[in-house]
Amino acid sequence: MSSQPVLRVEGLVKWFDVTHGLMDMVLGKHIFSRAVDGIDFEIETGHVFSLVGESGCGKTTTGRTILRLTEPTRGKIWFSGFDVASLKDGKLKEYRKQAQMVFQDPYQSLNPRQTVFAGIAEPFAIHGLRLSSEQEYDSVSKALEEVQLRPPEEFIFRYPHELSGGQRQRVAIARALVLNPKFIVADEPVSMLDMSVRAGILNLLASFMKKHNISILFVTHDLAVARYISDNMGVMYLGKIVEQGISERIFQRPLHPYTQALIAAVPVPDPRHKIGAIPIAGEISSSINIHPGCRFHPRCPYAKPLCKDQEPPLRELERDHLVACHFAETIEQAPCDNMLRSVSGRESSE
Amino acid sequence: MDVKNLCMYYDLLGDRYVKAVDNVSLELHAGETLGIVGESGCGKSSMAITLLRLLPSNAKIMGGKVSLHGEDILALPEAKLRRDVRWKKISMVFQGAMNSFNPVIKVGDQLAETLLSHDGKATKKEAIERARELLDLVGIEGSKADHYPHEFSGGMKQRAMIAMALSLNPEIVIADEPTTALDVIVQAQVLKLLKDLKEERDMSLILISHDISIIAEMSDDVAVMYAGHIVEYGESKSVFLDSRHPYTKGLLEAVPSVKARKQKLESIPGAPPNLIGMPDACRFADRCKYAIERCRQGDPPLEDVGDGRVVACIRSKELWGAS
Repeated sequence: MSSQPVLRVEGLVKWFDVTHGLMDMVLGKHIFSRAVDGIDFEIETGHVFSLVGESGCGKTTTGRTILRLTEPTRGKIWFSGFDVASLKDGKLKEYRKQAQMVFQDPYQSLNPRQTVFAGIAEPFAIHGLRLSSEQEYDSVSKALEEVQLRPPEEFIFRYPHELSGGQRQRVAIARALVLNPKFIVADEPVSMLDMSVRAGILNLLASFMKKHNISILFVTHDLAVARYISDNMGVMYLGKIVEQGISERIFQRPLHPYTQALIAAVPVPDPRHKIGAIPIAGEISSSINIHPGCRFHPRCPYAKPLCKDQEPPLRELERDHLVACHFAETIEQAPCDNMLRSVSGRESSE
Repeated sequence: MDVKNLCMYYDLLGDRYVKAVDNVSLELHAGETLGIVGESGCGKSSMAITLLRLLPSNAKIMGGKVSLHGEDILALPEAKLRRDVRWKKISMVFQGAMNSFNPVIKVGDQLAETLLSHDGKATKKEAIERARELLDLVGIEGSKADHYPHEFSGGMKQRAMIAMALSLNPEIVIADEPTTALDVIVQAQVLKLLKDLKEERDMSLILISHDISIIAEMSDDVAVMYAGHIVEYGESKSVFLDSRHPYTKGLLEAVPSVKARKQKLESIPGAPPNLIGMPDACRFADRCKYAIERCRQGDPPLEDVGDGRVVACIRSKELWGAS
């Protein structure tokens, strides 16, 4: 069942230099924001791997670094046998033909002065594919057909302002797919859209993935969306992955206290489920002064002295289910039980 | 509070109007949470500002009544409204707490300013003391009153906004997307706080959100808005568990749940309509899979389908029966 990974990330690190102040600069004292601080994962061919977490956890930076939109500080990114992190010029361009991105905001990612046709055809020119104008027109209308903007003639010469949010995002997806990539980074592709059209975009991405065997790195803060779209996922907290594995299994039995709290905090569209107490307080801290020990310990209801001193490694607690918590075995039961009880309580009250 | 046939249009010059709030009727009972849910542009925020008459200059109230204990707020002179109603009886938590504070004034002073401007008798010292108590009430240390807004995190700013809304002990708080910019855990904390405060102080809450899940978990009654209209209105349980309008049904089928196994979601085709020059027809008809010819001949009225629930769909009873 498990197929070849299309992409493997090893020890990826991205620190941003946020030094300010002349004195620090003169003394050569550098201050870093440790946005991504050593993460490993792989994405299998034709699968969706989601990175979830709160804002500032490093999930977007990870996606951008994998596409080399920002330069990695350290680490390796293996894609079809070569290390993306060390690619240069021509090779990098070749990689970008195979690895595309869909951005969050279709109101900003499309050039307002470019027609749909010009926007989707632009990648051909960038990658030096000399197509005749008929070929270009055909490819663009085929792409529009595929993202269900039908009939293509009706959309092909429109400007972005003549499209709804959902239609714009479909154009952005068509543009990412027109070069037949193997791999796509989708960064919050539905968070700007109205809820009635989100499902359409998610279903579209899923159908492409199946049809063209494309793999997707899906970056989102929305756990319900992550559960819907992904095969595997990683939960990030302050630059580290704290839990990783098959997503359905993580949602059924989250092992890390952070994942548990995160899932418990998401409201569900069911009036029998009432908002309850949230076991963890406070907010995610800055990635500039990361305290030693477990990154989550200041907010963790189960923190013990060990958590302050020692950073827990990501370890395989169950097969294909990794967790970075010293006490995952012991804390595992309590909150999960509660959560499951409230869920099953809802079902039985029906 | 009782809202009857409220209409608020934005004037676009030349006899064109955006019918943002069109013939909306609602009731808010003491101690109750009324949820208003809908997509962007459905008129839910316009409705909030109409209730407090905080309208931009091109917005016109075209009809209807908003009565608070029998008194029509819309008929009050502005000065009286500002003195007696706004903030004292009805206050508001705005969307995007990040931008609602003045960045160069200390948070405590901003809270105190609200108190002073509405309560002529209080001294500055008393007001600041009271500001500290209010911050304490929403779970922020009183000493933080001396901090500037940029020293607060997003969640703290939203809590401080809530403190400000509560400063004059209002009977009704209108919260317009109070958690949209917040992370899930902070969102849950803020919603819990709103809920607890509402219960402790015996207030009523009007909660406006695009997030159907938040509305489902928080509200007693729910109004679903679409294109300036209420399309379904009733008890939260019946609206969500046994919806009778195709739009409500469609929304529930389009939204994933974090606590349910994967099942195929269906989006509603098309996009919400433009509110300029609405035809005299069901506004959802173009996106509705149950639409028939008759749906395009006249705006469907809100009909009672039982249990005090009203639905604006001419086929509702035929398709799903009375409840």
